[in-house]
This record gives sequence, structure tokens and C-alpha cells, in this order.
Amino acid sequence: MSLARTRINFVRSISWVDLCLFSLLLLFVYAMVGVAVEWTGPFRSTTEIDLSLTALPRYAFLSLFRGFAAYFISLMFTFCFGYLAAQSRLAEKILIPVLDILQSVPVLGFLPGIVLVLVQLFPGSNVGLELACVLMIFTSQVWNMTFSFYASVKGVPRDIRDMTSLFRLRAWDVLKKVEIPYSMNGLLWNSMLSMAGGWFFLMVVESFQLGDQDFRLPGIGSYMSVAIERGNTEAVIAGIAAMIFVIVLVDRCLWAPLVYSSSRYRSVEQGSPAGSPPMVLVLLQKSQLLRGYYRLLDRWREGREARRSLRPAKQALSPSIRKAGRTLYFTLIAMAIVTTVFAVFRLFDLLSSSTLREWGTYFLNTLYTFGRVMGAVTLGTLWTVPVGVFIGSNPQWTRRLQPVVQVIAAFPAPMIFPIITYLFLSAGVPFEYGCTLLMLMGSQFYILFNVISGASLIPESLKELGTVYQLSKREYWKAIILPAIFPSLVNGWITAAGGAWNASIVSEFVTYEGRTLSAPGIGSAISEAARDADFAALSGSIVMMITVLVLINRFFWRWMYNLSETRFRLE
Amino acid sequence: MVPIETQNEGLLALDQVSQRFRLEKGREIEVLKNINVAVKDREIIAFLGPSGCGKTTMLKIMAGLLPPTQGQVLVKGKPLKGINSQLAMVFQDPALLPWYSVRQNVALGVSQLMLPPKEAADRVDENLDMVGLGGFEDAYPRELSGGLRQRVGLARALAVRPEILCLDEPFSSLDALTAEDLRAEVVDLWNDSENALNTVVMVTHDIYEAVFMAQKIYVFGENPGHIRTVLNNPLPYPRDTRNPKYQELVDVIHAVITEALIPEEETGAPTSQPSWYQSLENLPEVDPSEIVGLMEVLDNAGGRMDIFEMANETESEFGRCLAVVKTAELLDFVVTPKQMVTFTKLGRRFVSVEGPARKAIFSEQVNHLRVFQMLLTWVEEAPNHEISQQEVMSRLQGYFPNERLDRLFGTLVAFGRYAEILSYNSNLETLMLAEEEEPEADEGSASGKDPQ
Repeated sequence: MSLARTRINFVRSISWVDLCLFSLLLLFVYAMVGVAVEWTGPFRSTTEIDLSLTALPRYAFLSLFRGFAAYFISLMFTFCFGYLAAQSRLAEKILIPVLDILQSVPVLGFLPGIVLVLVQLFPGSNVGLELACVLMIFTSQVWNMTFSFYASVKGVPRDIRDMTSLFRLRAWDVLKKVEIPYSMNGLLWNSMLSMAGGWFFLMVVESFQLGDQDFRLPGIGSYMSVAIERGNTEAVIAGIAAMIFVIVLVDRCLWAPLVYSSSRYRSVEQGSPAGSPPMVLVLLQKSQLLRGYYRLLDRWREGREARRSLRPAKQALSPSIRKAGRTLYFTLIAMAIVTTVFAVFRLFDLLSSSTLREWGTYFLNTLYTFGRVMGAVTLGTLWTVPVGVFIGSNPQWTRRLQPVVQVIAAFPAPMIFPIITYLFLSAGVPFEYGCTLLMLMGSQFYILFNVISGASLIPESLKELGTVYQLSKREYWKAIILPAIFPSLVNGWITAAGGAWNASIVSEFVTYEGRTLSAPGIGSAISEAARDADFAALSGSIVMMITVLVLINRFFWRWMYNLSETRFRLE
Repeated sequence: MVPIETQNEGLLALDQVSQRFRLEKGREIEVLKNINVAVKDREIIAFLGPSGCGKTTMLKIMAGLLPPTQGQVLVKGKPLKGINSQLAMVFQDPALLPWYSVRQNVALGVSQLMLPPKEAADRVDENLDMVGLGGFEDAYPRELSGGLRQRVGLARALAVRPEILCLDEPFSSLDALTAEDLRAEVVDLWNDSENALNTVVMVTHDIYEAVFMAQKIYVFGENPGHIRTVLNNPLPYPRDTRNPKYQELVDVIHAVITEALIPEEETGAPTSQPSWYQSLENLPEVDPSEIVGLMEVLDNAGGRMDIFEMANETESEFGRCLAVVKTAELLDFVVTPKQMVTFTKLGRRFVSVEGPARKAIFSEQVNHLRVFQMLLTWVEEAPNHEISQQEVMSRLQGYFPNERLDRLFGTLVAFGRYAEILSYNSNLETLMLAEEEEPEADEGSASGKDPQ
């Protein structure tokens, strides 16, 4: 009888939150089945995109799924390679330069290889193409996450390391209890940036041409590109609205709760952030379903602990397992080396087919784009510095505007390129110059974010200095504000320039009302080469772009960075 | 002096241990030289010496965190391989994980012992109570004061029941009262035989702390770190600081330690170098303003002061105070007969004048230092009278093989700037002669762009 009563109590205590949660779960299962059907469905050379509003939710979910699948792979990649680079000297020496180069390879650089291989691997179904799409999103998400994790693991204080070795914590426990918590804040912040970066190229990766083949996958990106192609204003607006909805949803339901609950991973010096828990967390606390789930989880964990203590302490791994592990490790390394050697030979083959004159063209194209990148960064600096300083130095505004700015920054700018293109073309600005504005879209927010965080860190005493000595507005900015935000500004410039280079691929080559606008530059050259399946030009252009990028990073940005770290550091 | 033959019965012994670190460009620095230590059952041992003399490195070698370059570590007579499982350490900054509660932090070490959950939990609570943290179990480190955090570190180390508890300057970042309280706590825990605390090894730069806590005090010297002398301190526990007998012993020990800490006149410098090489002064890492401060303190005390008293008076670490006194001695401002710091004539004149006159005296004395004469020659002989930092450091390398050259260079620049005989451009990293004071030059520097 008492059992019956507790059952009734349980039923009574079920709240509407539980009902929502339950129906969401059902919806999710239904949607996942849809994804499975889509992936395993027969291969189509062209996918018809339905521009009606009712089709939009399905497209949005498919894109969202791809984004998260790519994010999941990025996370796994980050944990494996970031950890390896931080733990092993040898791996560090190889991995870090390789990752450094890979992160400057534009998204289209990976495209032909990935697509051709995967489509061949899964003939007759969509799996290959879908995987290719996910992998391309992955290439635009992963690098900054890996670098962040690597830096955090390297940055675990010496004393903590000594402590874990003295207590002889196993590597797995150190990872779980020390290294991942230490990297939590940086990783979370970079995850948000990466998701935004993944959306940026959504239109490119969901609908692209490779030679005479038109690869198109159902999703919000392809929906937008078709809507723009056909000039269907209604569909364009609906697509933008759906994209904003997805971004806000992810922000409110995933990032905000994660940021809130990760505040305990901040170190003592960083202090605890003020603020109330996000709405989603408050609601979830009312759920009986979740509570029951947690109780089960706790019981299972306790049981496991008890069982573990009964077993004799595990000594080192048995030699046979260790031997097998080592064999596996060396096999993987050998495979990686063989693949790399093969790829390098193929690449040389491709590169040697370009004539000297063509190399000259690649270089000239890179110079054009370099000019635009500098233009975009300059324009971005001009408007973001005053705005960022204003937001950053008023805590109230920071709190109010930060989430808004985040959502705007996560919005994939290429979706509104046609609108901007229309605006500047009708204002009489030729496309060759106007596309700098498009590149600005892909870079300005990096500067803005950094300026905001830099301005919020200016010590009150420095600002008071300006008041006490009655500095003029100009003197105040020159002597106090600009030097104080300089380190953040440099950080912003570095990421913004990287973003602008990447954005050049979609900015210098825009489809607009059925016609294609192209400005001379390395971005449009890469886009055109990919479209025409001209692999010699594609690889040549990309190698040229990477070389120039790496040189600029090594010399110019490194110098700026050192300057900001030494002379302009705020103690 | 060091009982080598009793090593076998000891818990832990360092046998002729030396440690060298490789610096950039193949340079090496010797941190420890020929260290012999024997740790026995039921002892409290203190290693006393100025900061940066390699004491912490020695602890790491004992713990097995760092294999020594030479010599060996013996645990109960057997050479140590890997981590020393007999030993637990309390760090200067307690090295707590901020995302774990006090209880979880203490449980971290216990969890590796594979105890049944109930026993493990009891062990944690028991140790928390022992260090007086009952009631704080669920607090997070950021909610605790420095002293309480240090207690968490102590509980975490005690909970694994180590045979040797190592304390790495654990009280140096605490305020005086809290430190006092914790010192007494550790001694009580050790004295209380029902606790599993067997032997305590601590590293400190505080003479008072060593005298209050330890039975045996190893006094360390610098460059490279070596053991100057070993003292026994037979005072019974608990030690009552007001007891006249205690005071007497403290004075004796102070005298011995001071004697040992004041560098010998003739350190056995390598004989392979020509004699004039050795006569270059090794300028301690001291700021010129500290010398001026010392002169003022001495002036207030009537021109004579015991060096130990001076460290107390200025609330500075003894080793630091000693370095300042040594530098003042190099500049001929003071002499130190029998640890009494006393003004010279020049020193008295220095404090009696103000402003530019003072600077002139300082400048002249710095000019007299042979190391500066050499530096000035280098700058004058260099093209454009500019010499790069790298060049200076590589030349200094020959004279000071055991020094951290970047620090020495920093000190030289600080003195050169203060004396207005040298100037240094940190952007170009070049050293040059100071400009002659001219009115135009003044204006240029006033509008400087540098925010700092």
C-alpha cells in the first residue's frame, strides 16, 4: 500500500516541466530517426530544396545536427591531440607546427579531398556526402579548441603537478580531476567561438559545386542559398529568422547553463562571477524525472566505488596489454607517416603542374586579398574601439549587451551578403572594393569582443588618473585608454585577420540575383578553382595563401604580440 | 659532521647529491652541491637558508620528483626509484583544487589508497578534525582564509599517513599570527604520539621558525646550494618562547647561524682563472633604493645595529637583509665587525646630505666597483657606444659561471641607472652611456608614449 502511495505522490509531483522534457525527448527521438533516414537514403546527385515555411524546421534540425556532430568530433580531436601535444615533448614538436599550418588552410582547401574520398567510400547512400559536410564544419571548428586545451594542460601549476605525482594519481584521474577542470573555462569559451565559426561556412558546405557536379544537402544553409539564388525575399527572411532562432536556442539552452555551472572551475584569483542561474537551469531543477535519474546515477557510482575497493589495488598494466598498446601506437604512427608521405607526393605532383607565370598570379591574388584583409581590420578597428570601450567600461552595459553581441556574432554573415552587396552596389561602390565590407562581417566581432574584455579590465585607478590630471579627451585616449587596451586589441587583430582571410573565400565570390560577382583575389581564385575542379590551381593558390599567412603570423603578429606582452602589459 | 655511517638505519638519506640545471644555449647552472643528509625516525629537521638557494629543489629530490644529477637518494638503505611513497608534501601555496570542496580535496590522496568507502570517508573526516577544520568540510578553497587553506593542505598530506611529512615554506605566505598558530599545531601533532606523524622535514628561510620547531637545523649557503653547518637544538617540546633558557639558546643559535650565513671572505673560487677575474664583485640582487633604506634605518638606530636585529626591525627576510648589507659594504658605506653593521665615514656623509649630493656619492662609489669599470669599458669600446644585452651577458658568463646572468644584468642596469652612469633601452635591449643632463633632453622624455 505504501508503495502505491509513493507512486501516487510521484505522479502528483510531476510538473509541467517534466511533461515538456518528456515530449522534447520524444521529439528528439523522432528527429534522430529522420536524420538516420536522410543519411542512409539513396544518393541523389541533386537535392531539390523546398522553399516553403513548413520545410524549414526539418532543415534547421538537420543543420543543427551536423553542427553538433562536427562539434563532437572536434571535442574528441581536441582531447586526443591537445593532450598528446601537452604531455609528450616529441608530439609537441610535431603537432603544434602542423596544427598551426592546418588552421590557416581555408575550408575549401579540404573540400575536394574529403568529398571525393568519402563519396567513393559510401556509394549509393548519402552517408559519404553527409560525413564530408560534417568534416568540413569540423575543420572550421577544431583548431582554436585544440590550442586552448593544449595551453591549459600545459598551464597546470607546477605545485599541482607535483602534488598529483606524489599522491600517485593515475593519468586518467589527473585528466578527469585536474586537467579537464583547469581547461574548462577556456574550452567553453572556444567552443562558443567554434560553433559560431562552424555556422559561418554553413552555406558553403551544404551546397557547393565541384566541377560539373552539384553537391547539395538539405539544410538551412542550402535553403538560404537557393532562396538567394531565386530572389525569394520571403524565404530569405524566414531563413534568417530560423537561423537566429537556432543560435538563440543553443545559446540559452546549452552555453548559458554551461557557463553558469562552470563558474566553479574558475581559480581562486578569478573569483566567482555574480549573476543569477539561467532560466533553463531553474526550470530543470523542478523536474522529478531528472531528480530520479540523478539518484540512480549516485547509487550506481557508490556501488562501483565499493566494488573497486574490494578488488586488490591494480598494479601496472600487464605486459601483454602494454605490448599490444605499444604495437597499436607504432602502427598508427606508421600509418600516419605513410599517408602524409603519399599526400605530400600527390601535392608536389599537383603543384609542379603550375607554371611560373601561374605562381605569379597566385602571389598577385594573395597581395590583393592582403590589401582587403588590412582594410577590413582597419575598418573594424575604427568602429569597434569606441563602441567596445564604451560597453566594456560600463559594467551595466556589458551585462546587458554582451549576450546580444554574442548572438549577432554567431550569426553566419554570408547569409546576409546579398543584402549588403545590394546596398553598396546601389550606392555606386564597385564590388572589388565593396567586398572588403563583406570580409569585415567575418572579422569585426573578434576585435569587438577583445576590446570589450580589455576595456573592462582597465583599472579604475588609471581612469581616475585622467580625471585627476584633467587630461583632454584626446590626451586621455592617447595616454591611457589606447595603451591599456593594446594587448587585447592585438589579440583581436590576430584573430580578426585570420577570420578575414578565411572569409575572403565567400566574400570575393558572391552569387547575387542569379549572377556571380567576383573580385580578383586569392579567395575568389580558390572558390573558382574548387567550382571548376581545377586541382592544380586550387592547391597552388592554397599553398601560396598558407605560406603568406604563416610568414605574416611568424613575423608581424608575433612581433606585435611580444610588444603587447612586454611594454603594454598591465600588472 | 654528517653521520654518513648511520645512513643505513635512517628513513631517508641523501648521499653526495648534486643538481645542475641546463639553461638555454647549453649553459648550465649548479643548484646543489654535495648534499649529505640523514633523516631518522621521530625527528623534526629544518633546512634553513635564503630563498633561491636550492632548498626546494632538494625537497623535490627527496620526494623523487626530480632525479639528482649526481649522488643518490636512499630510502631505508635502498636507492630510490620513481616517486617516494613514504613521503607527503605540504606546498607553500597549498596547491588545492578550486573546484573541489575541502573534503574532496583531502580525499584526493586517500582515494588512491583503495580503502573501503566507509573507511576512506572516516579517514578524511578524522584528519579534518585533527587540523581543526571540522565544520568546514563542504566549503570551497576560495571561501577560506590563507591559514585555513594551508590547514587543508596539511590534512591532505596527513591523511595518507606518510612516514615523512615535508613542509615547503608552508607558513611564509601567512600573516605572523596565523603562522605562529600553525607552527604550534604542527609541533603538537608531531608530539602527540597517537597520531601517525612520524618525521617532519621542513624548508624555511625564517631563523625563528627553525629554532622554534626543529631538533636539527641544516644551514644552507648559496651559489651553489650547499650545507654550511648542522646544528642540534635539544630544547624540549613544547617550546616556551618566554622561558629564559629558551631565549639563551636562541641567542646562541642565532650567533652560530649568523656566522654561518655571512659569507666567508675566501670562498674557494676555481683556481683555473687568473686572479683578477676573481676580484670582480658579485653584486647581489638588490635594488639601489633598498640600500638607501638600509642607510636610513641604520641612521635612526644611531649608526650601529646587529644584523639579526636589523632583519627583525625591517621585517625582511634574513637572507635578503644580508644581501643588502653586503652590497652596502661593497659600496663602502658600512662595515660589519662581528655582525654589527656600522657606518663608515662615507656612509655617515651619505645619510647626512640630500638629493644631488647623495646621488653624486652613490654614483662615485658605483664607479669604483671593478665590475662597473669593466662594463663602462665595454660600452665605450663598442661601436656607437652601444652594446647589446646578449653580448654583455655572454661576456659576464666567463666571470660568473654560477650566476643567473639575466638577474645579474638586471641588477647592474638598476645600479647603472640609479647612479646615472648607464642607460638601457629595453626595446632594443642595448646598454649605453647615460646622456649628459641637458634641458632639451628633458622635454623629450616628458611627453613619453610609454604608459607605465
